[in-house]
Amino acid sequence: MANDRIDIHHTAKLARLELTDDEVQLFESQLEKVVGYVEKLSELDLSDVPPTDHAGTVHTALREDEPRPGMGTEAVVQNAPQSARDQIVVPRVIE
Amino acid sequence: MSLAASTITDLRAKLVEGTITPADIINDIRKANEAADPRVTGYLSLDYDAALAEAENADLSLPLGGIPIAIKDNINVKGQGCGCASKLLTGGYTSPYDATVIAKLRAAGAIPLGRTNMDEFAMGSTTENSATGETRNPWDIDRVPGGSSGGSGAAVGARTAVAALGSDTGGSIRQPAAFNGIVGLKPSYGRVSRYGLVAFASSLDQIGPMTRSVEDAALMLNVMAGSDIQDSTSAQIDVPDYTAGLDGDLNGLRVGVPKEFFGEGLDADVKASVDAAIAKLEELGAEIVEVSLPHTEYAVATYYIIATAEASANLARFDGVRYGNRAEDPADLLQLYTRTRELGFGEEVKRRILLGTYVLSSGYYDAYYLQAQKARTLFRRDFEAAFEKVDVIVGPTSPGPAFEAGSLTADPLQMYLADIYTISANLAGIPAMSQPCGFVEREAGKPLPVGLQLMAKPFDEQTLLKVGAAYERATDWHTRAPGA
Repeated sequence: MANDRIDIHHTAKLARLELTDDEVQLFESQLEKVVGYVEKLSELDLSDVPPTDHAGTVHTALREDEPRPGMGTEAVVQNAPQSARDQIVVPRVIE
Repeated sequence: MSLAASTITDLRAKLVEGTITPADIINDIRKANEAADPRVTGYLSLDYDAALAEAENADLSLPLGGIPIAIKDNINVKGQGCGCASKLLTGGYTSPYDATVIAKLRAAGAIPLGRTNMDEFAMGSTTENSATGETRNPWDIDRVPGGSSGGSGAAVGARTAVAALGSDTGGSIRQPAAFNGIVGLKPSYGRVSRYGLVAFASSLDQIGPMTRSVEDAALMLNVMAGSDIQDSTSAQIDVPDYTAGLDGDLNGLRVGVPKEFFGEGLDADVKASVDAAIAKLEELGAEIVEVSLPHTEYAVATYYIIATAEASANLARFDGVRYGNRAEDPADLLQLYTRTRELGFGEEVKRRILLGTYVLSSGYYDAYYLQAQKARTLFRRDFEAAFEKVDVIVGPTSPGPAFEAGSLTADPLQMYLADIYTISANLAGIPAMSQPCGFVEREAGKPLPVGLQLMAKPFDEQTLLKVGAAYERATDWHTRAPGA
C-alpha cells in the first residue's frame, strides 16, 4: 500500500471542497491516522482473490421503450436554489 | 400502557376491534412527545395535522392500517423535507416523490409521522453529527442514542414512536437499536428497495424497521420487502410471509458463536449479557457451535475504504445547482460547488468525502480501493464457510453500551472501531438483527441496554426472526422502558 503523505489541498480540490486553514490541519492529521490504520489490509495476501463490488447480484432493470410523463418542470425546478423561466439559474459559464 | 408505548401488533388488534382509532394513536404520540424531554424524543419535525388527515381515510383492513411510522430524515416522503440532518439540504429540499418503502407502507395502510434525527448523511455512530438537532439516549440523558439512525432508535426506545424506519450501512440500524433497548433489523442487501433513500454507500446501504418487538419487525418487513424496477440492486426473488413460523421452536437449530467477537475490546458486562443470551438459546433447544470469522479484524479497514469511496461519489450530486442550499454570490461555477459544499457539509461528512476521494484518486485506487474490494470477498467466504455449519450466528451488537456524549468526537478512528461487530454483515450483504438481551450499569440507577446481534444466510430473514421471536418469548428485556 501507499505510504505517501496525503496532499489534502489536492484531495480537497478533487472533491470540490473549499477548506479553512483549521480544517486542513485537522483533516490532515486525522486522515493520516485513519489511512495508517487501513494499511492493515496489506497484511493480507490478496493476489489471487477476486474483488467483490456488490454483495448481491445487480441486474439490468429494463422497461418498454415507450414515452411516458416525467416528473414535470415544476417539480424539478421547485427545489432549485435559483430559477427563472422554468429553468435553473447558475453563474455564467461562458466568458 | 399508553398507545404510543404499544407494539404494532397490539395496536392493530385494538384498531380491528374498533376500541381505538388511528387518530387516538397519533394524539397519544403527540402527548408522549410533549411530556418527554425534547432531547430524547428523536424527531426533527412532526406534522400531526397531515398525519391526522391521512388517519381519517385509513383502511383498517390493511396489514398496517392506521399505524403511524417515524421516518429517518434520509428517506423521501412526498411533500416533506428530506434534509439528511444536513445544513446543505434542510430547508432547501422538499421531496417530489415517495421512496418505494414509503409507497409500500402507505399501500399497507401505514401513516408516515415525523422525520427522525440522524448523523448527517448517515455518517456516524452517535447522532452527534446532526447539523439540525440534538438527540440523546432515553435511558441516560448524558449518553448518545447511537447512530446513524439515533433519532429513530431514541423515538422507539423513548416510546414517542410506535415504530420507525432506519437505514444501515455499517450498523446504523442495529447499533442504535442496541443502545436504546429495541429491535433493529438490517435486511439482506437487495431485500428492500433503496429507491428514495439518499445514498451514502450504495453497495452497503439497506433500509430496515426499528421496532419494540420481533413480530413488529416481521410485520413491517412483510410490507417493505420485494423487488423494485426502480432499483437495479433489488433482488428479484420471492418474499415469504415473515410472520409465519415466528412461533416455531429452536430444537435442532444450530447457533454459531464466532470466537473473534468475544476477544479483546468487548466490555465484560456486555459479554456476560450476551453469554447469558446464548445460554438461553441453548436452553430453548438450539445447539451452540463455535465458528470462526477469521477476517473480522480487517472489517473496519475494509469498510472505511469502500464506504467512503462510494460516499465521495454519491455526495458529488450536492453541488448547489439543482437542490439544497447554495452559497451566496459565488464568483463562478467552481466556487459555487466548493463554497456550497464547504458551508453545507459538516466535519464528519467532509472527512469521509476526503478519505473516499483520496483512496479513489490516481495512483491510489489499486493500493486501497481494489484491495478493499478483494478483502470484501474474504468476508463473504468467511460467512459462507460458517453457514455451512450453522443456521444463525450470534454475538454482541456493539463492544459496549451507549457512549457518553462527546467522548469519541475528537477521535474519529476510535469511533469507527466501535462498529467492528456490525460492519461484516454489510460487507457480505447478509441479514442481521439486534434485539435487547440485558442491561449493564455504569452509574447506579441508570441501566443501559445491551443488544444481541443475530446474523443469517443471505435472504434468510425468516430464521433470524424465528430465533429472535423465540428468545423474546423466553425473556422480558424488550418490555422494559426507560424511566419505568
